[in-house]
Amino acid sequence: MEGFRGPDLTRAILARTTGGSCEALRAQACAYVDGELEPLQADLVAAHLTHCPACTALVAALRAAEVRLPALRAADPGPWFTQRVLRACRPAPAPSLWSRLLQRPRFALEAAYVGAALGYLLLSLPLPGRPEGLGAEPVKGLVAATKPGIGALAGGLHAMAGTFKTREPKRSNATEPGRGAPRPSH
Amino acid sequence: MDPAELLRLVRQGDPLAWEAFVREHQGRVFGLAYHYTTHAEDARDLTQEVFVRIYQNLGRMPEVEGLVGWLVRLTRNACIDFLRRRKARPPAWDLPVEEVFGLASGEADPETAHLETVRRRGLHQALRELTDLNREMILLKEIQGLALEEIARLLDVPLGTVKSRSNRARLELADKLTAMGWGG
Repeated sequence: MEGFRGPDLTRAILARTTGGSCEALRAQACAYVDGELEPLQADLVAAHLTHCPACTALVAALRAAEVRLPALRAADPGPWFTQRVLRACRPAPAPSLWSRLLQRPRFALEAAYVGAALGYLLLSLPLPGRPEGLGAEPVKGLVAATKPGIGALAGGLHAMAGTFKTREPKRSNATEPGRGAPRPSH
Repeated sequence: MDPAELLRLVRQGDPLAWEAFVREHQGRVFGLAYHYTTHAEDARDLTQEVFVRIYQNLGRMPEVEGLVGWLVRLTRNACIDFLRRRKARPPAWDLPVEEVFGLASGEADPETAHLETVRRRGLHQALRELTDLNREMILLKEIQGLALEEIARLLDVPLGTVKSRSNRARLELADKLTAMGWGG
């Protein structure tokens, strides 16, 4: 064993027996810093630390983190932040009758209906010098122009209905050869 | 003011009590949201969202003993929802961390002040380098000071798992700090 000094000798012996003890310390480092170890175990850890700079550094870093981390608990969101939160929490004012009416989904349809009715009434009102109203003649003209068309359409529909009616008995009579007539049995 | 009394008034809808409550807890909620999002404006929006939710559910507020855990749970849930939405849209810019946490040291001696600021910045850097799981453990236990049982309930994992995860996280952080020269 010539040439070995204290720490080297310990390391050499550990290397040939239990192996390095730093891993064992690492497993207990947090409990040691928190003061949760049994006194004997704490003494053993302390004894290891006096000879091991790496483990000493680890324990020192654990202690430093423990002291400094709680300072990061709160942060300043800025001077106007509270007002911003309070504004956001304020209940919104109740909508007025008009805004509630305007927000109804059928409002556009109803407005169009009322507008059309008002327009028709305005055109039909008697005006000075024109007792029949401004729009009476155009409206009458429109009706007259569309009347023959509507009449023709109605006539066509009537004729079609008549055709269907007249074809109906044909089917029931079954006079068409090969369709309705019974085949002679041989 | 007695916290229980303040909570009682808040529940009754007293506007001044609500303001006092917001002022008392906004720093914690904002700090937590910032740790999750790492973006000051997002953290502000989330903090506001959390307080509006609390305001809309005043009847569900727990008693004083459970208040911090409840606040942390609400904030964490809001942050996780937000991070899921933000996945494809990382923030483009942000305030430096010194401004958010007031990390600039107030020491009179410029050399000491500089050293202190560097250390605080280093601590933040080390925190950001941790894995998500370990960072959350540090955040909940070491920074927010929640009890292990509370964290186990919050994360829905067994107490033993929380304990071992917490130790692992502390050791990872200590390793990073040691590498930065903190262990000397």
